[in-house]
Amino acid sequence: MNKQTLFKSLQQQGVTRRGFMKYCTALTSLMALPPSMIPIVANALETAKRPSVIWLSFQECTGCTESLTRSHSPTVEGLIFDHISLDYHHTLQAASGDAAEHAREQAMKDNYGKYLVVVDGSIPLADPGYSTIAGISNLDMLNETVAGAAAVIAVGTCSAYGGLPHAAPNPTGAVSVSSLITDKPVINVPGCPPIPTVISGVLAHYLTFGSIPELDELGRPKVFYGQSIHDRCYRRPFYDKGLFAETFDDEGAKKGWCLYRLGCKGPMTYNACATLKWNQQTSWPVESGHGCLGCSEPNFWDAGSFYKALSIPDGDYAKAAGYAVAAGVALGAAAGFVNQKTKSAAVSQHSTVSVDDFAVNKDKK
Amino acid sequence: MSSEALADIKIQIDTPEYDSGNLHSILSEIKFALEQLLEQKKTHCIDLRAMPWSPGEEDKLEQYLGRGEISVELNALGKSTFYETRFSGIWIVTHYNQEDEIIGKLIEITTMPEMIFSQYEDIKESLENIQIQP
Amino acid sequence: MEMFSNANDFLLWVRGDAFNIALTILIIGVFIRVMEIFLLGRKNDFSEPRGTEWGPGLKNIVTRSVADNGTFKRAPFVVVVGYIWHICFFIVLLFFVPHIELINAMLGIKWPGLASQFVDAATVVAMVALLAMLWHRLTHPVLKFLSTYEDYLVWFVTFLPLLTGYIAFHRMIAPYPMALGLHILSVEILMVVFPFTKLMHAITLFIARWYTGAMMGRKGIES
Repeated sequence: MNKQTLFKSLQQQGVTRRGFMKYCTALTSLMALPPSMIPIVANALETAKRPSVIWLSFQECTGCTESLTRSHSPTVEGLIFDHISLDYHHTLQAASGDAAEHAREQAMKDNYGKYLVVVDGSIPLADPGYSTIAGISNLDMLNETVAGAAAVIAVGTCSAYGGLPHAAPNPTGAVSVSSLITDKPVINVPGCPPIPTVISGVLAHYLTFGSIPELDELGRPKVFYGQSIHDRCYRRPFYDKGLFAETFDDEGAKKGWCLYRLGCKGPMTYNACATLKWNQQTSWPVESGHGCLGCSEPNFWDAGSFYKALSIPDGDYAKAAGYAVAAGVALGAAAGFVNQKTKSAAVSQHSTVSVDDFAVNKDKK
Repeated sequence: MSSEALADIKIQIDTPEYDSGNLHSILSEIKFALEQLLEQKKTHCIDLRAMPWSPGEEDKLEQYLGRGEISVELNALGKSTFYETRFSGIWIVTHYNQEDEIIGKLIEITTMPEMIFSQYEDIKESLENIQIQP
Repeated sequence: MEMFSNANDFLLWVRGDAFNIALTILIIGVFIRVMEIFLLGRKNDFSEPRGTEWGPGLKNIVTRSVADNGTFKRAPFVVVVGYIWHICFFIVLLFFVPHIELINAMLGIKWPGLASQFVDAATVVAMVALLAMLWHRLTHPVLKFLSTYEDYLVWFVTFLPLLTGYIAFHRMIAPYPMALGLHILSVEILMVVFPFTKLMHAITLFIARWYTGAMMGRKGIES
């Protein structure tokens, strides 16, 4: 468990001052901080110690780990991993078996109160057997590991909000990390998967400053999740002008018009896709012609069709309307019947009507 | 699976003809920074990765700024290129990693980007290492 | 009623269960009210008809849209502001593309929409018109005397969707799911209140105008 600073460890690798400055520039950009922060980041890295990180993978598809460890040769993300002490990652260390579990326990003991726990995947509560590692249930491993953690980062919508397993009818009883851990700071980094640079940016922030970035009401770092897709979408001028694509290959779609009518959930989704984009800033769903799915929001799987506009209600309203019409006709007929009876009775009794029966405000003079 | 093969695939970007306003705002910022450089010797840096570019817009900006008479290549943790545009004082800096992926892209309004200078920490190390008997 | 842990849950409830409930109440209520009218029927008229019923009846539905001179002279404010309010309201309801999507999903019909700035402007004008109507109701002595709580309730449930729609469109409340949820909820409130108040005029106006025209037509006089 290396306790030297990041700067020292880069120096030992033969990285020059120029290399270090380049690293800081890239890291600052990665954290979505303005270039004026580069000297501050540099200063922090010159003094920051490498934190110990334990990565727990629970009920997940491994997409988040894939998203982050995409590269097979050093990139900035890779360097972060080289320079944190990744003491445990059960997928990457799968072949090590028991030795990996011992490494985890040792890391927890040596760095008690100071290590970072990263979680991807939801935790099944219906039956621990749904997801276990080395025979230990996810719930137990989470509670055990988080006990001595400084902070928890929930990577991906599954660990942040329950994600796909949590969608109706939730057969495994899947829950999010934050619904179980309430006594430690939890940073949610949702997305299905999250943008790789967002994951590394959040890790980098903790690595650099040893603190948690400012979070919104859903526990997401405001620096990446503070703006909605809609507010940063380059197709916004088309939305404002009322120019929408109606199908995926019509004239409007080819001209790059707004995808609201094709189900884009951009207006209610908060993520960095519109600015950071995907695949090294190549493109992102809307730019490629497909509406936003809202994958960084809780319950996005249950929020109605991906291809129906946001303004369309997503329950079974046709069925409800059908029943309502039937009930309405029946009750209407009943009301009509009662009214007829009242009228006949009034006619046969020669009842009279006076002006007071029609008074608007009976208590006013 | 090498990145060169991927880069060989020709992609044509169909740029829709409308103004997102990005070019206007960034060029205004650049112009203002250039004024500040001239009058107050203040340097400025713009992170191009932070802008919500529409397809083809970033290329349009680079095409407009063009290339000047000087360019510098750095090899540290991968390649980095610095070149002055046809507007003196406006430099475009691109940082690549060892996989030739872009990890940073900035516009620097300065007389010369800081990173090009030899750094005193490195000079100190050179002094410790240099031999008078090679 | 579920407790919402965040704005997204609120939006999902409002778009799902709450909408179904409101729609059910609206449909049942409207059916009862309309069927009551028709099932009560009309008294038999054994006199000799001097004209037809249906032609003048249908014609009257359209011609009554223009206020006659006498009405206009007596209440110019109500006629003018009433028109402005209704026209702007229909522009907002029927020509904003997200609304068109909603109507298309439910009824299968579609038409071109307007650019959002026009809808935005119409919303503001409609809200101003409504506020003017409220002021008029509170300051005109006869209107004030006649007004009941229902009049003010109806005004309120009509004003809310416009206000919340404006707020949602301009994203004045964060996060957006909260703003959109409030807008949809305000519409659901309007739906629930609709059949049991004078808002039913939206449907009964066709029946009433037809009836007046038909009666006069039968008597052979102009309506």
